Amino acid sequence: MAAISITAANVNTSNAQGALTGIAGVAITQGQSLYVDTANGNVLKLYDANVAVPVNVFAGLALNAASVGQPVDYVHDDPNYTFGGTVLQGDTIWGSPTAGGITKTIGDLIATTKVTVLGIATSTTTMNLSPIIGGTVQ
Amino acid sequence: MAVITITPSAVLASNNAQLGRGIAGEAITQGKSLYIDTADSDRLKLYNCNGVSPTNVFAGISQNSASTWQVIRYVISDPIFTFGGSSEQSFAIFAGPGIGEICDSITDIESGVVTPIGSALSTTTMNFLPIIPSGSI
Repeated sequence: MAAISITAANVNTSNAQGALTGIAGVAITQGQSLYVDTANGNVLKLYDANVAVPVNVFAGLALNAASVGQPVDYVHDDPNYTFGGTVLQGDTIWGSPTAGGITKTIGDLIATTKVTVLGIATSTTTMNLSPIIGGTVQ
Repeated sequence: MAVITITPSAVLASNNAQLGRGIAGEAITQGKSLYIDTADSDRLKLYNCNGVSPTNVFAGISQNSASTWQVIRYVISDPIFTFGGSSEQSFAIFAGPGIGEICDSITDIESGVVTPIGSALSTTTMNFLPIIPSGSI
């Protein structure tokens, strides 16, 4: 199973006022998982669970689209986040070893992958986004 | 002197820009002229100089891209705003004439509200300081 397919136009947060903001360090679209590049002015780039720190340190999911240097809003916690894809209610959703992706498939998290539980699906299209950073797959 | 073609990835605000954030009421890409729809929960939509108020009341230019009900960032003013297109230094920039557009000639505004939004500092930047409200043709 690959990363969850995201339809950018379907991504939304239940609390827009709680959104965080940063500057895009790469082109970013709605729903992509992000990290803060602490070695490059704290710009936001695409998270990847299978790359070294800081790339595998989940920061949030993008709420809008931006090119390099433009502002991008993102959300770290949201009890009713609409992630723009489809899963089964109750599925666990993880940060993916595919850049910018999220996955519901534990088998995607191969050896050396830093495991981050992003949340649990509260319906087929929404999740309780409450990230938990875990260990590395041995 | 015409409607300015915008390259979304080239739109950039300076560090001295006055910025706003709202919710998109329709699909919006970078560099679009916007208004605040006071009849629809203050959502941001594409400005139209030929529309009626509030459609023809310029609010700013979008900084990033969003779909309906997503968060959108926009620039309200900016002394060195990279607007994502090409004009001529010293040309006045106007909102319109098409929906969400900007242009660099008053003759492009054949009808509706005239809203000067800035003056080109170079071919790609302007002193973005909208004059609102403005008159109608």
